[in-house]
Amino acid sequence: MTLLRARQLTKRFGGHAAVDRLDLSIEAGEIRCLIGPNGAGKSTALALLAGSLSPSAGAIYFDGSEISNVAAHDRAKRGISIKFQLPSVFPELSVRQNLKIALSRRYLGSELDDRIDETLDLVELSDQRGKLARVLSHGQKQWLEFGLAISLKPRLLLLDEPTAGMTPEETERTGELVLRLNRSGVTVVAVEHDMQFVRQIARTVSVLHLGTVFSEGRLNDVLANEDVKKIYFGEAPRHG
Amino acid sequence: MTQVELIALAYQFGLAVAFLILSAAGLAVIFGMMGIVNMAHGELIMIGAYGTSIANRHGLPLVLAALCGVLASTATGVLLERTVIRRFYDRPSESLVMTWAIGLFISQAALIVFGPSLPSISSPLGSVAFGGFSLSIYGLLLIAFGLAVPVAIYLLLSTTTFGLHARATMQNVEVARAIGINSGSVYSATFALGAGLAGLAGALYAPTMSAVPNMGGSFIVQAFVTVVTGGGNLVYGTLPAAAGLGLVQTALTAVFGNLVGVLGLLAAVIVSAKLFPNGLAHRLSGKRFS
Repeated sequence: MTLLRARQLTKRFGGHAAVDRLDLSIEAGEIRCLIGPNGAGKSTALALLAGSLSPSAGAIYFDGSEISNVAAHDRAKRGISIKFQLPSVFPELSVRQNLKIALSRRYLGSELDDRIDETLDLVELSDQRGKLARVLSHGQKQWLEFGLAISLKPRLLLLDEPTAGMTPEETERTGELVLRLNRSGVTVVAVEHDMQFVRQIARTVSVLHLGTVFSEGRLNDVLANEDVKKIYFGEAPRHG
Repeated sequence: MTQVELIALAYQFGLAVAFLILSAAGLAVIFGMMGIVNMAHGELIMIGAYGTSIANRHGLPLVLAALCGVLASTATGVLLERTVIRRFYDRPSESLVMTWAIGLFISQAALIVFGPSLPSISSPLGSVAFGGFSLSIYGLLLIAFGLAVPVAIYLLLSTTTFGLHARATMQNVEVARAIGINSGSVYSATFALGAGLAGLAGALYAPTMSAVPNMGGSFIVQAFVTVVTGGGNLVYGTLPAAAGLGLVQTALTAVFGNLVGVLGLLAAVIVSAKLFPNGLAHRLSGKRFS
């Protein structure tokens, strides 16, 4: 079953199309990585899917319904969750309060406390629960944001460079977390540069170039493609 | 100095601090939480006073009339936020000019609709004599409100779901939206809260001054100097700033008269701005905003 579909999705900034007639189809239960060189439109595409940006043209469908003009907070309620590129948490709230905000939308009382504890354990921040989020390390902030994103029990989790700034060890643990979430039924779309991480989590990758899908398939097949190599080394063939 | 003189001075100090706090509370909430410098703050105070005065003149007891004044300014705040202010959230300079224009419009509209002044309300509750000095009970009530308002706002922001959502939205609006918080509603509610606090100031001081279209001017200087000195945090900023400035003003007024008291207040603001350019709140808690 197709969970998410983008049709001819376009985002223009002035005269420049950061995302240009993008067609993308994500099956329920899939882990899809969007890869491509800097400026390919990956993060913009993710922001369009999450509702942080409004499309200039085209349409987005989630679970069969068009959500192109649905506000970001309503997309979150429908089950679309995003983890941003830079660690985006609430810096002047404690780690526990950060999670409480997200979880209090679904749970109350002692169940809320239980879920907060459970999520703290999952993202390995139980020892940091009372600290202000701003004093956490970069990796811990990334994991706290993971906690925020998964608190919503999303059906679709959008990850924008989830391992940026992480050590190889943290990256691997993040990959394990993503796989665990996926096994529990969460569909994942991740923008990522770290090919080790992509290899760890993804079965299918889409290569974005000039704001649209240039190539799609298994990672090894895609990376073996001569045209894709040219994209990464800056000799990209242009779309007609 | 006799004990009576000391109590009289403490009373004057309490009145000065309460006036600074109540004048500044709405401005501090809107600036501290939203980063908007609301130049129409004085006019929202005026609406609170007008609502109180008109409702009281139509037979409502003062408490209910004051509630009408607060509701009038809150409703005006909601209307302004929905129609104008929300278009200027990421443009502070434009929002400053826009709210200034709105303030002019409101005061002129009040002049056209209600004339140059409204009949005054008599000050309630009487007074108590204290060793030859008379203390207004209503003045004591104003002092109590001056202390209660920052505490109430602090509790609202730190213990309620609305407060948590509001603080989250102000700290990172993109993440707040991503976890399902309706940031538009939070902004509306926060602006309405600030407008309601402005209305509360107008309602509380309606029995103590003439209700005229430009009466907001009596509050706005004190409101701005308090917020500039303290920063946008009510407890860590507005409260200590009002206490410090109130102390300077009361002491100088007692010795040298009203003019020197006001000049001393402004001088204290300049010194404070030089010593604590990010506001007292930043100095005391590391937080510039709420």
